[in-house]
Formats: sequence, structure tokens, C-alpha cells
Amino acid sequence: MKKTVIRSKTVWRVVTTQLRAQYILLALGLGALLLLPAISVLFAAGNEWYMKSLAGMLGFLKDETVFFCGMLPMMFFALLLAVLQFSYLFHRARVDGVHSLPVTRVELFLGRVGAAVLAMAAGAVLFAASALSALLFAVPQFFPDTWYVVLENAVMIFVGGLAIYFFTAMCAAFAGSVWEMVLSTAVLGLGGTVANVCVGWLVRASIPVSAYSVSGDVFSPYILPWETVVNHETWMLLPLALWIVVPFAVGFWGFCRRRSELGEGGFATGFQKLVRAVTALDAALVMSILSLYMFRSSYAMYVLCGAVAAIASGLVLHLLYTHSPKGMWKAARWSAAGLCAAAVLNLCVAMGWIGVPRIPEEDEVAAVRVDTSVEEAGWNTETGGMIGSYTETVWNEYNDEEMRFLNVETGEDVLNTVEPGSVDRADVQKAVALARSMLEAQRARHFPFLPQADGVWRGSTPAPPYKIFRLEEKLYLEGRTVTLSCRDLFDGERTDGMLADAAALASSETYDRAPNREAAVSAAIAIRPFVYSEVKETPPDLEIPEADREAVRARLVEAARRDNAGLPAPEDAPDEAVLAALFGLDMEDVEKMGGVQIEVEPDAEVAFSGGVLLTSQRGKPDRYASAEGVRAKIGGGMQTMTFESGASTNVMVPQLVDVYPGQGANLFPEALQIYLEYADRT
Amino acid sequence: MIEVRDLTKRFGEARALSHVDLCVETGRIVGLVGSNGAGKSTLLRVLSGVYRPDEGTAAVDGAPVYENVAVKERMIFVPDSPVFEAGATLRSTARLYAAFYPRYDWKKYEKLCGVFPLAEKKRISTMSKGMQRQAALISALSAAPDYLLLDEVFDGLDPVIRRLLKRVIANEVAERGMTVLIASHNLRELEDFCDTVGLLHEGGVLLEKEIDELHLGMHRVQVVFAQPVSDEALRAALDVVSLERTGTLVTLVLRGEREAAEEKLAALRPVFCEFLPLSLEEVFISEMESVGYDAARVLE
Repeated sequence: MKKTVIRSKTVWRVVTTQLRAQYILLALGLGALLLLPAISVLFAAGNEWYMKSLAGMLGFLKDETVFFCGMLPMMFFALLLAVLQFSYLFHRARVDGVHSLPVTRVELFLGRVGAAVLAMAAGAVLFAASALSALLFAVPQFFPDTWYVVLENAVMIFVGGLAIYFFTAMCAAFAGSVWEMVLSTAVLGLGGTVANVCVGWLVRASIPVSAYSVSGDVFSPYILPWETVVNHETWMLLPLALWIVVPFAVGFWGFCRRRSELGEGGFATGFQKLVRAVTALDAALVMSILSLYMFRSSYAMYVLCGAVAAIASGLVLHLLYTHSPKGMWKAARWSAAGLCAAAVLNLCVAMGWIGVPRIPEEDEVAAVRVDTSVEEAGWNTETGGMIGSYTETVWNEYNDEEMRFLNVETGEDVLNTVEPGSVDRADVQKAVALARSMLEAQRARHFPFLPQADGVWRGSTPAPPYKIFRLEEKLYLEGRTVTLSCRDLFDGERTDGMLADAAALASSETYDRAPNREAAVSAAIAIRPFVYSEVKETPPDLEIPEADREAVRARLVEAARRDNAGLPAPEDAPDEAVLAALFGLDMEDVEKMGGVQIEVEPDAEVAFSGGVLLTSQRGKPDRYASAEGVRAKIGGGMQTMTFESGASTNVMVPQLVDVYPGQGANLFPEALQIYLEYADRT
Repeated sequence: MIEVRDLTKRFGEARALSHVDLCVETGRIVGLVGSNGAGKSTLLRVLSGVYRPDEGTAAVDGAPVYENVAVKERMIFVPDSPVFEAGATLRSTARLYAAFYPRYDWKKYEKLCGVFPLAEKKRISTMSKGMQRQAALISALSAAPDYLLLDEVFDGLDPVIRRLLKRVIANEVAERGMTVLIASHNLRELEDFCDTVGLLHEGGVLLEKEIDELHLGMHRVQVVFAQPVSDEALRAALDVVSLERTGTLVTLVLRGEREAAEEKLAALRPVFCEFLPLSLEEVFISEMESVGYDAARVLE
């Protein structure tokens, strides 16, 4: 076997000639990556919203900056770089010039890749340098807690750019013309995601209690980088790395084996077969799904439309590739392969091999939560429409509690939601049994799982009366949650029995009194001063009695004085000024105010400073973090101000009330204690 | 030495080259002629390592060309439409060649820049087709190749530059023993320049001969006889390739030694006899007709 010698000097020469050849693109791309981050950070520095807190700035840096000012320019940069570097393959005279040089194909490929990697690395470095410089000069107070985010962003856009570059280069190595490269890039880059979305839809439209959790992002080198930065998920770098390694290896192999004449006459390539198959797969899935809406969930039309779409896609592609129907039957086998893949996916869903959730064993489940409602309706079999319905919702006894959820959030963006539920082992046992009976019920009624538009079975609905019920059960496991949501039509004793079991579970003595629930309530009480929740003691939608108004007002002012030290204290300024400052009211309105009724959203959050490490010793916090960077948050909502004249006006409560450094520190530790206890349990 | 043995190159279903055999000795200037689609450019691309042979071998000094850097460093291919990088100048193109060809001779480059009337720092894209070709040739010749492969190199060049280029190449051949392979469909252009000419047709080499041999072995004669001589008598007496009559004037193309033909014609007692020069094209047409090819179709 002939040994391939790679001469590093020659590779470097290719790198430098490539960099020189693409100087216009380099100037534009690197210029954008240098200027845009700085401009965006300077914009954020001038924006009150982002400057309000560290979390605001972190949110900005983890979202807008990195996407619009980093990833998007890098994506275009990488795409254009690959297209420009490899488009010579489709131009005979250019191929003559390049391939007659005393450089091996291996060196040519590595040189091009090296130039691209260098260019993109320079782009990422410029991005980081630009953003860090702007942070340092414009918002130095946030720099210590944000610099690492900028570096993470730089890594993400670099890796994302590499994925797009290598994928496009791989497509170029196999394509016979520029447009074929574009077509292959689009079809193969998005085909997997389209198929995945279709299968997800198919599962939901076929299986009432369904689960299809494969993320569609991982199937596309174009969507995955976007998702990585928008969600700021560093773990996504791993699948992104696969999108680098595999296209690099395949592209390298394809480039080195590529015949120079491939770009001259559009000779058929093996790549075209793959494009035909993927196109047929996607076309079959998309068209068959659309047929459900067009032909009232006819399964015959579902199958027919899928087949027709696959055949049509094959014909169109064949004409595009060859400009002639000649040889169509021979090429049709690849479209048939795509159609077969679609059929296999349908079969997997129909047989419940994918999409049916696995019920965990009882000992895997830590807590359970059940929500259910039932609707009884008549069905007019002639018109296919409903005739009257009523809804009955089964709630637990704490239904009227305001504080149903408590979100505890750290500066690291870890969000823990405290919900009503049960950790009682008997409840867990019942919940698991209920989940199993839900799956058995659907198998008895629906198997094989055939797709229906909106997941609603038409034409096979049993005679009235029947019930539509929604039963959602959450099983909390170590590190994950299994959600079973049943939303189809069931009838007979089995349904009634399941509903009764669910209602019994949701209103049991142990349910809703679980430690996490207790933690939520306690934490809510603890953080009330942060969120001015004394006001919540006034039941919503009730006028404050005349006699109590002064007292409520006084407590509100007291809360403000205590937690907003930066504002004028009552003894220094009139109470009205405090109110005005709190809720952004005009002083004139405040002076006229005779009473106040405030409604706020029941969510509350405690955000711990990202820079403060929280640890605990035997469930107790080993130290109390200072209140620096801590904020309390109330959801936005309308508040009604009633004036002495009897007139009232609605005012939007500020969506966020932040507690700034040094404020509320004396109230914070209790909430922290509860958070840690909760965190230890879960 | 360039050796091509049983070389076949296919493009899909079509055969561009079919079992081609060719041998080019070192220090020779060889012309490749043939009609459009005959396979001239394809053969040059195989020889320059752009294309990989499907069957057979293309070797230089015994080593295959494809993916052989050592061979390609001594060989330069100037295609029929040379392409330059965006914004390239003659100087930047020379730098590009210098980066990849270890024997690149900047002195020679300077000398050639003095010979050919080109502005070094002018963008090549703004130059005429002929000037672009000159730029490619200057860059190529400066690399001091042992083997120079030229595809339709004289197209677009004015007569002065054509003559200049031929002289420069001839000097390189004389001084360094450079081997030149030129593909062209213009036989007249090669006539006074090449040592050997090969004729390609439908992917195969029909003919490969020394120019002198072609010229010396064929003669056109215009003759008027005192007494009528039949075609049969003429064909019996002489090696007639073609024969035409215009009144009493008989025009013959004869193969063989001139002296022997003169003697045989003298025996037929002509009243007028004149030997005229044959162009290379006419020699080719005659040769091809003699081997059964429709020459008019082969040489368009």
C-alpha cells in the first residue's frame, strides 16, 4: 500500500495561499466578529433593563450577544468560507490549475481546512477580545462575574462554526456542481431534523400517552450551534464535536478519492443517492402527515400520499440532476429506500416500539404529582360534532392556595420548581400502578397506533356518552422527570376507575403535604418581605375595608423602608414618595389615593449570586451569603388603584423588583436555609 | 521521458481516451493535433496529474504522475483557459508558483517580464485574453520545468508574441533540454515549431511522426504529359496518394523519395513537371486518407 507523506511546509503554503485568496471574506467576517460584540455590550451598558442586575447582564451575554453578534456572523463566515474554498472543484479551469500543482490531495484538503480553522479561531478570539474589552470599559462592575461567559461563548461559536464548515466542505467533496452542493447541504443538513420533527408529530398523533424526547437539534449541523448558544448549553458541544469529526473524516476521504472530472459533467455521485433517499423520506413523512388534515384522517390516503410524495421527489431530483427522464427507474430505487425508511418509522410507531414511555419501577420514583380533569360530552355521529359538554376538574384541597409553585433559582441558572406532590411510598405505588393502567388502557383501545390528525380519532368514536379526560402524572426520578399525559377518549369502567384513582391520589392526606411542599410554603413566607407579599394577605379581588386601609398602607411603607434602603425613609420623606418610587406612580395620583388593592402573580424567585458558592453542612448552610446579587422577583400583573373619588385605575406592577446589594440581608438567610434543605432532599 | 501505455480515460459512459500509447523523448517538442473532442486536453490533464487514468499508465521518467509530487514539481501544465486567484497580479501569481515549485527562478522571471510587455502589478483580470495567457506562461516558464504541457497555448496571442514565445520555449529546450508537449487543433502553428506531431482522433493516436519525415516522404507534383497517361498507368508507376486532373494538368501527391519519383515521371515524358511544397495539414490529410480515415472529417 502506498504510503501518504504529508509535508507540513506544503500544507502551510496551502494555508497561506488560501488565507490570501479569501482576504475579502476574511476582512468582512473578522470585522463583523470584532465590531458586533463590542457594539452590543455597549448597547447593553446603556440599557437600564440589562444594567439592573448581574442576572440581567448575564442573560444578555448568554443570549443576544452570542447569537446575533457571534454565532450568526460565524455561521455565515464558516458557510461562505467552505463554499469559496471548495467551489473550485466545480470549475474545470480552476481544477486544472489547482490539481496540477505539486501538492497531494491530502495536503490540499488539510491546507484548506487549516486556513479555515485559523480564520475561525481568529474570529472567536476577536469576538472574545471585543466583548471582554467592552465589558471591562463599559460595565467593569460586572466583569468579574461575566468574563467566563464570554469565553464560553467564544468556544461555542468557534465549535459551531467548525461544524458548519466541515459539513459544507463534506458536501462539496461529494457534489458535482455548485447547486448540487447547495442542495446536498440543505437536504442533508436539515433532513434529519425534519424527519425527527415528523416522527415526534407522528408519535403524538398516534399514541395518546406518548413520549418522544429525541432532540431534533442534534440532527442538524445548522440548528445545533444555534440551539447551543441560545440555550447556552455547554453539553451540546459534545454532539457538535461529532458534527465536526464525522464530516471531517468523511469529507477528507471523499476529497482525496474525488475524481477531478466530477465537476465537469455532473456525473452521478454516490452522494446523490443519499440525497434522493433523505428527500424521499422527508417528503413521504411530511406529505402523509398533511394528508391527515386534507382527507379527514384517512389511513389509506395517508399511505398513498406518502408514497406519491416519495416518487414525486425522486422524479424532481432526477430531472434536476440529469435534465432528462432517462434512467429514472434505475435511480428510483434510492427514493424507494427513503420511502422504506419512512415505512419503517411508521411501523415502529404503530407497534409502539418508539414513542410509548417506559414506566419506571416504584423504587426509582422519588415523588409523584397528579393533575386530572374530565369532560363528558355527547357526540353527534352524523355531523361528527360535539353536542354539549361540561368540565369537571379534580383538584386537591389546596387548590385555592395562592402559592402553588416556588421557583428557586441560583445565579448558575439552575431552577428548581417546588410543586405540590407526594413522596409518600403508598402514593408512589398507586401512581405507578395508575401509569401502568393508563398504558394498558391505550393499548387495548388504540393498538396498533395509527396516526390521526391532532391525535383525535374520527370515525371510530364510540357511541355517546363518553368522556374526554386529561390525566397528567409526573414521576420524579433521580435527575429526570417522567411525564405521562393522557388526553384521548376513553370510555367504560376502566376510565372511571382510573379517574377515581387519580382523584383519590390528588386529594389524599399525604399528597400536597410532602416536605417539598412544606418547603415551598415556608420559603414563600420567608421571602415575603422581599416581594412585599404582606399585601397578598389581602384576598385578591376584594376591596380593602376602609378601616384597614391605613394599616395596609403603613405595612407596605414599612416593607419598602426596610427592604429599599436606597429609597427615602418614611421619616425623611412622605409615604407617598415611597409608594411612587415603588410602583412608578405619579405623585399626583398617589396623593389622591384612598385605598389600594394589589394583585400579583404568585410566583416568587430567589436568585443567588452566581459568584457565591452555596454549600451546606448536615442540611444547614455553612455560611450565609451576603445579599449581594440576591434579588426577589414578583411576576408582573395589573394592580388596581382606587381613589377617594371612587374612580379606579389599573397600573402595571413592575415585573421585577430587585433587592440590591446590602438590602434585605437580614431576611435572606431563612430563605437560603429552606432552599438548601429542599435542595438536599431532591 | 514521457511514456503513455495503453491509457484509457472514461467520463461516465463516454471514452475520452482509448488505449493510447505515446512516447515523448526528453528535450523534444511534440505537438498533439486533432479535432475537437479528440482527447488532446484529456491526455494533457492525465499527464499533468489532474486526472487519474482509468486503465494503463502515464509516467514521467518511469514514475507515475498522479499524486506524485516529485514528478509534478518538474512539470507545469498551462491549460487552455488559465484561471488566476481573485485580484491576482503577475507578481502575486509568480509568488504562488514560487511557493509550490522548488526550482522557481526569480531571475528568469525578471528576464521574462522584460521580454513580454506585461505590467507586473496590474490585475490580471483586467488584462486581455492574450495577455492573461502570457502571464500564465511567464509564471510557468519561471518555474524552470523539465516538462511543459501547453494546451492551445497560441490562441489569442498576436503573431509577434507567438513568435517570441516560440523562441523562448525553443531556447529553454536548447539550454536545459526541456520537453514540451503542445496540444492544438492548428497544424500550421505547430509546423515550424515541433519536432514530432501526434494525431489524436476519437481517443486514440492515429499517427505519430517526425515533422521532417512527414515532409520528406510526401510530394505534390503538377505535371502535363505530351501524350495522355491514364490514372492506372500513373498509379502503377508511382506511389500515388492522391490524383486530380484539371484539363491536361495532373496534380499528384506522391509518397517516397523525390529523386525516385522524378526518374519515374521523366520516363513518362512530361512537357511540364513541378514539385510543390506540401503543408503539414495536407500531409496529414493524405496520410490519414491512405489509412482509410475520412480526413476532412477528422481535421475540421
